[in-house]
Amino acid sequence: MHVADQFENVRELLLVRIGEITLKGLNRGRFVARLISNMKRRINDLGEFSIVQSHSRIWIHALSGNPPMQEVARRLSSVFGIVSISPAIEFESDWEILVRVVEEYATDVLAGAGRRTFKFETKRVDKSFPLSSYEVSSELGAILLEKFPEQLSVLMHEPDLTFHVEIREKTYIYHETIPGHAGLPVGMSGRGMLLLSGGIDSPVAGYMMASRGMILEAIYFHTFPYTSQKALDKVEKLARILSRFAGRIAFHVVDFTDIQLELNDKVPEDMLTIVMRRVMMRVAEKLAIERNAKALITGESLGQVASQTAEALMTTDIVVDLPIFRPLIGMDKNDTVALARKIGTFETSILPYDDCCTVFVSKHPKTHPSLYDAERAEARIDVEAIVEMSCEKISTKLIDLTFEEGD
Amino acid sequence: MLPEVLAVYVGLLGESGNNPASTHAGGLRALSHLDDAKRMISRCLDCSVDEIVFTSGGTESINLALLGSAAAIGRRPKCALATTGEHDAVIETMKALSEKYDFDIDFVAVTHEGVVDRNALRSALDEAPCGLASFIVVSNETGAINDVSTLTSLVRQYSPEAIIHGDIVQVCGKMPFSFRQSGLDLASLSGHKFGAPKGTGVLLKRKNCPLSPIVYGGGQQNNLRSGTENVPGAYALALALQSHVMRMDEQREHVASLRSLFLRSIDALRIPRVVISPDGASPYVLSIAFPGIRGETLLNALSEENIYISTGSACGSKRAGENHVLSAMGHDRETILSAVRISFAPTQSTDDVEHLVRRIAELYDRYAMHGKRRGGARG
Repeated sequence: MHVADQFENVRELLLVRIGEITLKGLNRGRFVARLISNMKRRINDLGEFSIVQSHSRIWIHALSGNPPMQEVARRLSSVFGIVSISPAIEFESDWEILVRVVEEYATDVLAGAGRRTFKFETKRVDKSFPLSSYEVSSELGAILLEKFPEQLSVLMHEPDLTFHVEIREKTYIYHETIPGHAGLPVGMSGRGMLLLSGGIDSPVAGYMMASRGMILEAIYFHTFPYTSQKALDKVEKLARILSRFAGRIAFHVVDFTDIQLELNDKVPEDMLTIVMRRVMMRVAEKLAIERNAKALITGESLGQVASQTAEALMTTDIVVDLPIFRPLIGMDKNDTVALARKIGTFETSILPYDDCCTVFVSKHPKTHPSLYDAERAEARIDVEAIVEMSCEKISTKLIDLTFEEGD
Repeated sequence: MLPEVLAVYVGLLGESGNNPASTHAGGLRALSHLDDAKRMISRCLDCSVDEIVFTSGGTESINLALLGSAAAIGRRPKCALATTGEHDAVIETMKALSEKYDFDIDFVAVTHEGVVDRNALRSALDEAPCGLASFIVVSNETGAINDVSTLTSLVRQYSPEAIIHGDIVQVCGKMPFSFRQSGLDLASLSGHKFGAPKGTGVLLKRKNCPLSPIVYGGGQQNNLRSGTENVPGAYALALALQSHVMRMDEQREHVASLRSLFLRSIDALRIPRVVISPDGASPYVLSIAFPGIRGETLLNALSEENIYISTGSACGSKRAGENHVLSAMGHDRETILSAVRISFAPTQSTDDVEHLVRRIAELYDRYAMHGKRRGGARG
């Protein structure tokens, strides 16, 4: 905004709406503190900010320098807990100043734009202000109509532009509302171990659990040369995209090839997928407990493929004690795809590099395996030793927030 | 790139003012390099110097040939024929002809041997005369060789006016080729396939063949391909082609012996295999499947050892198990999944081939699913 440069004592700020958190009772302070700390991490390289909660909102001012507030808003829009953000300007509550600022503000907004319909919405909290909210709106509307007769016309119902004026101790103007991803601040709901593959579903599942406040860690089973380096790079990229929402993610890669070879060798073909998944669950759980995670997270959706029938899920579920969160279990594939597109993982997920789930699919897998089938298939391998061996072959990398790639 | 070509190419890159359209000394020198390049190419491919258009590679040549013919089709029928064995560059350009220029496109079947099915071609031509036809002369996937003059005369029997294009990317420098005798009106080739830099190619165009440009500008190359000519690239292409053509028989014999050594050694080690390339195919490329191990698994494992083979076409980023040429030949998904493409080159030795076979044997034993080599002999 140029307005802030035109006047003294006019400052840019962001108004952040926080929705669900305001409903929290005695814990509210902890949620807000966590949210503010997550926000700071997301923007601290852009400048120094004051981030304060008041009147059910969070108010962000730049303390020094001249940070790009639009970029700050863009980054914050992916922080869970934030419902929406409005870039605004703040100045002294005074009618004369308000008129001059509004004229400049509208000039900025309308620069290069064609014809626009508009209205004012005024909220007067400071009742000592000499004009009522209605008077402020209609006076300011009249002033803009006179200044931009060619460009502006008034429309009360769904205009192109709504100029919001809030008169408190200071006065605020904004017209833009950037939607956030809502949810709860990451870090308020413990830690979850996401079984991340290269597909469409698991990144979405991770996003959903992080939106409920979980810190994410991800585990990927790498089976080179059955799966390529490109497949691993792709999964890492998915973790990187998730980190825009979930913050830092510990990314664990299990070198699973030798175990896979043993399974290929000893497990009947039609049970290979089920046994492989049972082993993966056990490895993920062992790592999860070591990392103090409270749950496993998968992208499974009931009936989607042979290994996701109720029976197949039961046979994999039963080998672990930690809860398995499956946020997509009842979701339609189209809705999952829509969400994947929204969070930006879809384009990466559909890159054609096979992961182990597609390479080691038997031609005719058992769709309704019984527990007996699974246990009998496992009788020929030393499960405990295999899990132990897998856990020794894990390398971990911290995937940190990145913003260099576009949305 | 061939070392002797690289040296000349780099030298030319360093020359200043090498725009053949300029009339200063640098420009004249560039023009004379371009003329020399054309002379070399004309001798190698038996064409005239004014039948040569320099492009950025096989794909551009094919696009110019097909899109440019379509725009100049005149009163010929707006019906184009190609085969199911074509490279993506032809298939996708044909689709564009159908979508943007309202052409009827017919993809004629190939046989199990990967060559054009002549009966299918006859009945397609019988059904509707075509204005434009395109054939791959040597398959990039299998090395299957189409007898180009038979195909062109067959097309002309039914559609005497048709414009006929040949994809000769896998031909140049590898087997004798005469543009004059081929019966083709247009032929596309790519420089990097025979040791010239990437980004170089040629379209051969018979003098009386109508063709519209697809790139407009300064009117270079008889207004067929505007844009300053890439003189170092064109010269390097000609030099590389000449170098291969001069040693063609000897190289072909060597490559053929490598290919048969490879197959003999694979069989000696009892590695299950399905040879997809037909008998009599070009020895430079071998399409072969090793049932039990995915092509991609083998590719990944070998690439760790700096041995590079391919699955499908290296150009695309396709899903495993998709290969339109092998499907068209009637191979099932399992065979396609386990297929690889191995390129043999004059620079390779029998030691290289024996090493490759040993590696394949070992990797097969380690990674093949649900099965080992018969007898399990260690290589």
